[in-house]
Amino acid sequence: MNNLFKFICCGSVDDGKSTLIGRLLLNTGNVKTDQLEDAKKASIKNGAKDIELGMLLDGLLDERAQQITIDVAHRFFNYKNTRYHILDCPGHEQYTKNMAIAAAEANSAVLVIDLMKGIQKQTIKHLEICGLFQIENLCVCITKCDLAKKDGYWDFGRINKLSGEIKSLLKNFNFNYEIIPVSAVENINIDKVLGKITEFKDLYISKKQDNNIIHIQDCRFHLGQRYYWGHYTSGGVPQTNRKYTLYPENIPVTIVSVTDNGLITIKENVDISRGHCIANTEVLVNDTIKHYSVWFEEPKDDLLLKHGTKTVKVLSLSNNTITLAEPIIFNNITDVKNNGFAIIIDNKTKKTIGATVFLTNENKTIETKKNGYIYWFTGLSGSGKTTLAKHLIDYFTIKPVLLDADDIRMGVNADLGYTDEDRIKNVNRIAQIAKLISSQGFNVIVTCISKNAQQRAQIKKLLGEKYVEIFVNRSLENCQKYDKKGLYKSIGLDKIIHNYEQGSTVTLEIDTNEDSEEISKLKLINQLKELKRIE
Amino acid sequence: MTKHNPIKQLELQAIDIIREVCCTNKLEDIVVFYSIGKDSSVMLRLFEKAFFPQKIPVKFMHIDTGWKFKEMYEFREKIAQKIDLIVYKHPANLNPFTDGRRYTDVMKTEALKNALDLYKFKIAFGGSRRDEEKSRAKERIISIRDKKHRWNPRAQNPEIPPLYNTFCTASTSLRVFPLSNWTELDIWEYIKMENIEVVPLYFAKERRVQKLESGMYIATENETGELKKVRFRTLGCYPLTGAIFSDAENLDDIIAELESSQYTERITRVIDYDTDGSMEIKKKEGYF
Ligand SMILES: Nc1nc2c(ncn2[C@@H]2O[C@H](COP(=O)(O)OP(=O)(O)OP(=O)(O)O)[C@@H](O)[C@H]2O)c(=O)[nH]1
Ligand SMILES: [Mg+2]
Repeated sequence: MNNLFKFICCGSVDDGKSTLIGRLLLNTGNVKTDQLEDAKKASIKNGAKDIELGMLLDGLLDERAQQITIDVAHRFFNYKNTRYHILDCPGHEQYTKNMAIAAAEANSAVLVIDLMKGIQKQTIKHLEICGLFQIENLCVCITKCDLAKKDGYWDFGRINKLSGEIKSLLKNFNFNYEIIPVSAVENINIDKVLGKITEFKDLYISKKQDNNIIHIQDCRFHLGQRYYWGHYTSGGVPQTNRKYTLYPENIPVTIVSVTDNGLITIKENVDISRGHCIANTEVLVNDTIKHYSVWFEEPKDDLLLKHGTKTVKVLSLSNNTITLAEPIIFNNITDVKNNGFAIIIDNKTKKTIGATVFLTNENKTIETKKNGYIYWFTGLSGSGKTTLAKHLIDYFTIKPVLLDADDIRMGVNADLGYTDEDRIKNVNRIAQIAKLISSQGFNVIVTCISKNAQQRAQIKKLLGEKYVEIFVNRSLENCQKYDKKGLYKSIGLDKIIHNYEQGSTVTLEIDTNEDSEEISKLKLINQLKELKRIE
Repeated sequence: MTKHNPIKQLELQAIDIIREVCCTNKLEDIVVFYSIGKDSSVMLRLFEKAFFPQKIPVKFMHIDTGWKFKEMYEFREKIAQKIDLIVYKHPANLNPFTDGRRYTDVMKTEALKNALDLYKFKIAFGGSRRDEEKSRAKERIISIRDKKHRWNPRAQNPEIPPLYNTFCTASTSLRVFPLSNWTELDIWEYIKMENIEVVPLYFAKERRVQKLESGMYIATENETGELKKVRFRTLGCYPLTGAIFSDAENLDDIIAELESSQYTERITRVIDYDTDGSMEIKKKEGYF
């Protein structure tokens, strides 16, 4: 036995996480008879005919009564010379914080997606958290494949369609991944999942971790000798008689010995105490840090940040910058995961209320913006403009002003009809209003069919560099087919637009023909970020 | 980098937890629960290692029910020479035979809470492991308890090891479990690796036993008991801990036996087995 490997199991609520892990434990011979009996009893008590494998993990009384995972279950098993540590996460939105802390601890993830439900909001949320905490490997399991059958076989048409959607979703992330359709109930493809996890373990072990970062816990004196207690944040126990650097002083030191119980002695006669750091790789020392925080509770004024062995007061906190009373010694999370995050503690209650990851490398130049942006959503009726626009509004802390062409037609433009001439007037007036608002420093979101390419070019001229044209592309056929609001059924044939003209002024295009709503929303935000049109 | 096997890694993690908690809190607020069992023996060794070459600066405490096995008391006397050990026994002096459930409620749970209050300990280390029991698998390494020592599984502190929040306040106390990620097998492998002394009851020997209605065998000091070769996987109070038939006379035998065992150690504990979730309920009442 020579390795220790942690992975999480995550995904949306009820998609089959605990069941899959239960099956995995059972198949590898890691469920004892009494545990099996206990889970079976609990399942039957809940009205099931036979054992619900999820009960092997869901051990709290409330979890069993409500048949939902509330907090992370930690399970360990040995398989082919490795100790695996599984963290089975809850999927319910309310317990996302419990999933987040598990992700911070692990290197790889099993993400489950129920074949019958497809990609959900929580699926994406979990992926984002995995990305944030630098999960590298992802085994995506399409679960409950036994529930969709055609002529007695799994419905591969449906499985492949979902696989396609997952692939398109994962383009927005940076995982090493594989998609495996499974059934925990029929016990199919579980061996493949296990094989994948073993592969991830090998990848993890093979990655050299010889960058030592040691945060000093305490300086101890004994018989005239000084020893240090070290917290091995990265790289494990350091090699001796090598050069290291002492931070924050930034002076060279030599580690002479590390005893079996982890006592460090240093050659040089320097003053080292709790909060110092010894490393043989580059670390950052700063009191003002670019960060991204996940909150478990609403942050109050009086906060502490704990990183390494240092606990410091938070002086100020904004969406992307945190200022501390004293510098800390850290890395960008994308450089050294273990040295790249901190916990935030409420100084009054002393509860951990948030986790923050350090993202200092992203030295975004903050634009001095006088005019607000104008996000101009163009595309056919029913293509998804309003849905996407509303999603974009929610993204902002200071809400942008929404100009919806339909609303404006009811008031300002009530005098206009649907002739080509009137349509042009309609759009022009909206552009004028947008300009007025933008010039006062507010962001504006416009949703307006604006089918005329030449006119959009004029609008772009009028609104200048703050104009962001978002073309929501869905074919007329699809707009009519998925006509949820009944738009196409209720309006007169003369109002249907057949001749939308694609133009050259478009900043970005969101194709809503294939993708689900959630993916389109995600793409919108990601692409705007990439284009640096939002922060 | 020197590669460590999991036992070595688990040891370092446990030592790290012990040191972090001890150097961020007042030592007089800290106590280590000592049950005389195998996990406590491992905890003691980890504390020795965490502070070596200095002496362990914190107190240990045994909650005595008066109904432990003779061998356990003998073992405790030996250990008490080495550590600063408090022995606390609840004055009610209940009897497991006649007082039933109230015996464990008072002599264990109540006693534990009283002892913490009496000595004003705010931070109590314990040797529980997540693999022991299904609700334990859900608990944090540093677990917050309220003023009345109660656990609320729905309001646990978010924890990202190895970044521990070691603060406690006037209205909370902490339970710290450095062995959280160890398994029963790890414990025995560590005992072997470190050559740690444990109570002889863990090794198989011809002992007098008596069969209970539940089918469980318990050791008895009564001369009429049957003579069987048995050992104990867990050590609790005399009538509440079952023995198992075994030939495991040494550490290697025990490790081999565990590797092929089809049952967890919990089946030998009457206290956890009476109702579903009984361990969780005890924790919510303030037990470990
Ligand atoms: N038919 C079928 N049902 C499944 C399968 N996997 C899980 N289920 C059922 O799906 C339901 C939810 O399963 P869980 O494993 O508890 O789901 P979960 O993802 O752990 O749920 P949370 O942790 O609460 O988010 C249970 O009723 C399972 O029996 C499967 O492969 N096939
Ligand atoms: Mg679950």
